[in-house]
Amino acid sequence: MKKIKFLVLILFSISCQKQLEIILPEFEQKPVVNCLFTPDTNFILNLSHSISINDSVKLNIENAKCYLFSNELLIDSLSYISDGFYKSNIKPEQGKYYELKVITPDFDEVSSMSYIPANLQIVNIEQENFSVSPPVYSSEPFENLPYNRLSFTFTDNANTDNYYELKIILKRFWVDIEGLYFENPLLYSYDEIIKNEDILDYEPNLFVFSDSLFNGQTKTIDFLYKPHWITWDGNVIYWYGEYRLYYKFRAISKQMYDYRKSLIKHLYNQQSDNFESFGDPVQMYSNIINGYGIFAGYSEVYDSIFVENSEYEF
Amino acid sequence: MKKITALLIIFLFSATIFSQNYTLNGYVSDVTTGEKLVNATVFIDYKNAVSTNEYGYYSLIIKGVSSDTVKLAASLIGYEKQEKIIDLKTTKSVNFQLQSNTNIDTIIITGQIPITQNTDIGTVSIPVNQLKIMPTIGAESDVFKSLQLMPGVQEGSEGKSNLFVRGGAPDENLILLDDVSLYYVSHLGGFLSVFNTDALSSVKLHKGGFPARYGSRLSSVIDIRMKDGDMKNYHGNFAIGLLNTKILIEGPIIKDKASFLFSARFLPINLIVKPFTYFNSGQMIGYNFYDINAKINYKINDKNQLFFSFYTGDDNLSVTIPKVFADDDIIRYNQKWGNKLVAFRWNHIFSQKLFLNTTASYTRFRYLNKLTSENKSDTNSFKYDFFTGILDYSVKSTIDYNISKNYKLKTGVNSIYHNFSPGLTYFKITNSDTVQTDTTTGIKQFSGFENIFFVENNISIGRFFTSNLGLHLSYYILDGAKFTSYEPRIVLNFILHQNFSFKASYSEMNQYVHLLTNNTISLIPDVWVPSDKNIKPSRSKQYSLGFFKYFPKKSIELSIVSYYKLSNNLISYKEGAVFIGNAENWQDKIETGGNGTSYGVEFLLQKSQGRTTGWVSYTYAKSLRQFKNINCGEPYPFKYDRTHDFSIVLNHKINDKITISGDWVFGSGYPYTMPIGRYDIIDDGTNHSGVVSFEQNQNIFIYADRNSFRMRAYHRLDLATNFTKKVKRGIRTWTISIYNVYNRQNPYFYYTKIDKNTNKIHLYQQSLFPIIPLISYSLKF
Repeated sequence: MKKIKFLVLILFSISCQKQLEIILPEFEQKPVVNCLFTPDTNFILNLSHSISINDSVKLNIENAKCYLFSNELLIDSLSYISDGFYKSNIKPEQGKYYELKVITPDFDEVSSMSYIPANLQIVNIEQENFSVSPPVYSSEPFENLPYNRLSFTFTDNANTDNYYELKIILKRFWVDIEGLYFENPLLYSYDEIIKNEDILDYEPNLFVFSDSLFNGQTKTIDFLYKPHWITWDGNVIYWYGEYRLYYKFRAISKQMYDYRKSLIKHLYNQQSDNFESFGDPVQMYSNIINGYGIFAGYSEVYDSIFVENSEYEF
Repeated sequence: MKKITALLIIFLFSATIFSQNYTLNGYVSDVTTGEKLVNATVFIDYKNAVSTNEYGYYSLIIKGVSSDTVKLAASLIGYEKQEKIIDLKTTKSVNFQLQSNTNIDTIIITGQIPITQNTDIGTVSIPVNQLKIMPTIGAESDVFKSLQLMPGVQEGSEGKSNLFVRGGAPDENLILLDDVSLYYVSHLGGFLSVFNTDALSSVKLHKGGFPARYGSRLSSVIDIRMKDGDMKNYHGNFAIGLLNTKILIEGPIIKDKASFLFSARFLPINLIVKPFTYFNSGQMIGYNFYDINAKINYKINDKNQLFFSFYTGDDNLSVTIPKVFADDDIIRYNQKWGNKLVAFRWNHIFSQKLFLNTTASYTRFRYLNKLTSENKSDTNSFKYDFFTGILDYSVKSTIDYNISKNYKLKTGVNSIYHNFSPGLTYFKITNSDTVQTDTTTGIKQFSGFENIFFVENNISIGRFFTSNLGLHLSYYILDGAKFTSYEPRIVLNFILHQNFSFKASYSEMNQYVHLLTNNTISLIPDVWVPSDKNIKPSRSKQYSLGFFKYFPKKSIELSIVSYYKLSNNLISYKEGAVFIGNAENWQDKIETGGNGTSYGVEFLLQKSQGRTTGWVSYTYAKSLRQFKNINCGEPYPFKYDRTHDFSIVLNHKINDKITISGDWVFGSGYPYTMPIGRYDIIDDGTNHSGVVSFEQNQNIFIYADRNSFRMRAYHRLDLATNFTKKVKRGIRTWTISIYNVYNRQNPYFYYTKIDKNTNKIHLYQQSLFPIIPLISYSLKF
């Protein structure tokens, strides 16, 4: 696709860009809640407020009262730590619904509700190098390299609507170029479950999916990626050496699923200075009443796999 | 009720039953070339006048003349009027051959049927000879760019050949070339339309008050006719410009019996780009386009005539990369897309009153994407093909029946076989002579069948009322889905004075196909998809009211037309959805069941004759969309909603050698969606500090309501001058044009960018075309 844009580049090379001053209508500020909670970790909440597009500094809210409820009973009041962070003394539990209420002097009360789904039941995990060919061939030869495959086999709970999330991070061991340590590669999949989520076009580096196509089944899903690193000047380096693959495979709440899907599309279309981005802007999902942000629970399996050095024969 | 119907029938047909009339018929053509002339007027007086149809044929019923011997005349803008003395008792058929008018001092051609007399409302036509001298971006005349200067028509993005008519999308335009639809009408990523103006005879745009013969699209009909070819002499035209090189040849095959026309255009840029890229990078990148128009016209006898029309055109992008993995490797990448059209037409005159046109046609649009990799020294290879397209086979028969002076009937049937290929992928890998993969995937092909019946009743009552009452019926079957559509079409013309009239119209339109496209200037293909069980056909209702005034002394037409259009079952991309050419799961990317509301007032003052020609147009318009899941279900402005749109076009012939032309356009800014606020979220990400971390801050935008902001206004001045001179081998013309004379930086799109130093977000405008001076040369021989 890059090659077909050479005409466009020619046109833009003779055209020009211009910074504009615009007068914006009065902007109504609202509190922003960031709280993703999981068992074994105390509730930690970050509280700030939204700012006008013309402003530049994130403003934390330091004088709020944050309350946690469960079954309509107050279970804790969060304490302010610093930098907008508030911390609870309790750890959330699976299967329970939690409600958050935040009272601030300058804004309306905000509230939200979510839960932590049951643990993942992983049956098997496999990793294979250069396993699957890419779907569309490119004139850039290295884009035609086969994907590495990471497969999870897991069992879905038939009694509930379940939602999942996968994210991986690669860590190199050879450090021959300063600053190259970790990469969060783009993910791809041929699996109908992932295709059905309508996220592949947005070049995601995490996947979220529901069990709507495999409710109650034991399922294997292949997640595809290419071990590459991006240098500070933006160049892509494909990597054949050994590395460690860290993965977080999560069972997530419905609120987190909606939030993640919205985030993937929002960020992709936010890159409006990127020529390849041409979707309409996406308003970000939020489950915070009278505010923005997210309050949602998840449970996860976090582990790593050592991937040995391999060579690909062209 | 039955009595009322009977009375109505008696009333309508009374003229036929009780009056004694004479009838004359024939063709009007160009004396030099034999080319049939569309919209020429044949008349005795104001009461006895008729226009030639789209095939240059007329049938005139004469009534109320005091003598059997009358003076019958034919006229057309750009031609000398021709008169003949006719004995009505002995004469049945009269053909006219008009002389092209080159005398610039003969300003006005009299005897034209003025705009106040016909039943056209929301119809504009631009004489082809005016198209050719208007300034354009590449010094190449372009039908669509000229139509964009008419009221009610937007170009969308700057420089493109799109038409957004009365708030409709480009796929809501029915584009006909010689009565056959074309699905893709752009070259060069949309900057040039596929129509070679040298090969055209007439261009007409219908925006409302649609005659019943047209259907299948919601917003407009662009009816373009090719020239038939010179029946008498051989001649041609050659031109070279920045955007293309073109040639046209026409002449008789058998003098006064059969003729041909052939024209071709191509983009010569490959001759420069391919070697340049090869020496620069070792890769060869090339782009070109071509189109070919051909026509053969055979006159069997006075009552039968055959036509064969052919069009083909492609855009082609190719990339060749040698030595990819090894010295013997080579990768070839090729994209090709374009139309092909073949049509056979038979015109038959049954009688003085009955004219038949039958057209059998084939039209297809297809996009191909091929990629192959080979190694000369071994047997490894891979091959990838992607294909999308649509093709139609069609048979259409239309009858023009001139029943009486007050009642003309036009009726017809049309059967179309559609075949849709939204996207097929073929993939083959061979490794050491072993085929590892050989598979075809994608969306299956759909076949649809569309049957159409229409009837138009042109009824006039006295001198003060004319009308076109019609009905368009269609029945559509696709993959188990069946749709029937009844579309009434009504145009009423109240002639308050010979040169002043008031018109009203009501049209319902239906559309069974939808276009998936992207709005950038990339070369990603457009994909046509059909309505099916889940996606209902789109439908529109349009009301129009207009006042029309004709100033005969200056030959100036003035029209003020208002319209109100309601559309439903529209589709749109879901919020954030992107289309990158692959139509797989396309239903998941779109919102259905949308409503559209468009209304506005259009003003047009047009002068088509004399030393100075041109027009002034102004449109006030509003176009809204509403979808359940977009903008929280609230109505929002259509992406190309333009409140004020003004243009002035002037062409002036200084003498026989020099013409100058210019246009100035002004339009209020297009809407866009602006981020007005932002906040941070703490998201899983990558921390490059050396510690494995999934946490990272992300900047989230809070957007204002969809399309609630407006870009800066658009305005531009273009000038052109043509120097024509007789030379030894013909007539040569140098054209010098300047696009965007005062170098206005018009908005192409807006985008935001974060300043990494201050963390502030700034809004930027991207402009496209600066001032562009161009020169082109043509030789007519």
